[in-house]
Amino acid sequence: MVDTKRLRLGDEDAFREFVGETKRLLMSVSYGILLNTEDASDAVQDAYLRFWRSRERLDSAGYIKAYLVQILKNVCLSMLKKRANTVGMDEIPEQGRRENTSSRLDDKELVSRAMTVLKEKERMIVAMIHYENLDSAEVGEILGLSPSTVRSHYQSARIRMKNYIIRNFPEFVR
Amino acid sequence: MKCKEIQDILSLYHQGLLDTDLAEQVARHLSHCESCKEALMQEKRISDGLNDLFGRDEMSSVPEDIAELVLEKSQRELPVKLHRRSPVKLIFRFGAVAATVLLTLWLSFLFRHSPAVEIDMVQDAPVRTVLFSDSPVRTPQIREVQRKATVTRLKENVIWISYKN
Repeated sequence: MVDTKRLRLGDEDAFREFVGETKRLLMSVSYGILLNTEDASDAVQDAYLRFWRSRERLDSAGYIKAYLVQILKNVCLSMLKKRANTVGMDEIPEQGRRENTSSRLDDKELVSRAMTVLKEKERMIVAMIHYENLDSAEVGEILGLSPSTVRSHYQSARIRMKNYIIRNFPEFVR
Repeated sequence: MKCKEIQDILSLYHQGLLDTDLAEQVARHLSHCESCKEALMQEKRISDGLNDLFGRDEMSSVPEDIAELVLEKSQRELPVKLHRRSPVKLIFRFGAVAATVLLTLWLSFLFRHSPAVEIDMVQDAPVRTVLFSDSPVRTPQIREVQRKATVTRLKENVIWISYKN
């Protein structure tokens, strides 16, 4: 664990250490929300930059990872808002393509599509649980929720994902 | 427990997020229920898909030197934060404010009201009936008034005399 005091004083080595410790977690949360590697990577960078700018306001008693994840969440949400006004090239459907693709989708792709039906908080929880199997207590600590709330969010997220998959890709059940 | 209840918590069971007691109940049920076993296989596929999605190599595609990138960016921002407005600009800004104030004063001086005396309800309007009892200004004589001042009849029996001291 990196010392909050060192970070607050602007110790660059402490920051490097902190980034090394947290970047995978941040990337998974960011990818969980944005579902796009490039955007996720940009959001992570932006979140670190905002974190570093506001380092003097760090509270030594608080949990820094939680603070960092909160910043990241805000960055991701504003990216989503911006994205709502634009459509990516790969999101424009090609004619006659849709029917063929559904049968070719592998489980990873299928799951990635099912993630889109979840709310941001649920996506974050799913992402953290499947990134190196964090348990509900650790996820709860980062998000400021109780472990049982995390479990119930996770459970309802999984049920909705499964329903989505069964409804849109019936061959999954067979 | 019914199959429906079991199937709702199978994802938690598969991820190892259930309490020991509950997990044991689920395991006992699974040992003899084929449809729940099948449902568990589906949950496993979804879980594996998620593990692939979040555990894949692309996930570590964050640039190795991300810390350096961020530090460099924040250093580049620093001069912007400490940037001061140039004194010339400040002079221009204050000059513009001062000029506006002076112009306002000058215009209000130009269009100021010349001193005037209002006389209320003068009977039969003619100027000679006017009384200036405690007027601080010099009471003009009727002739003087007629000569130096403008006399305006506002209503039938109200007149407005403006004159210069």
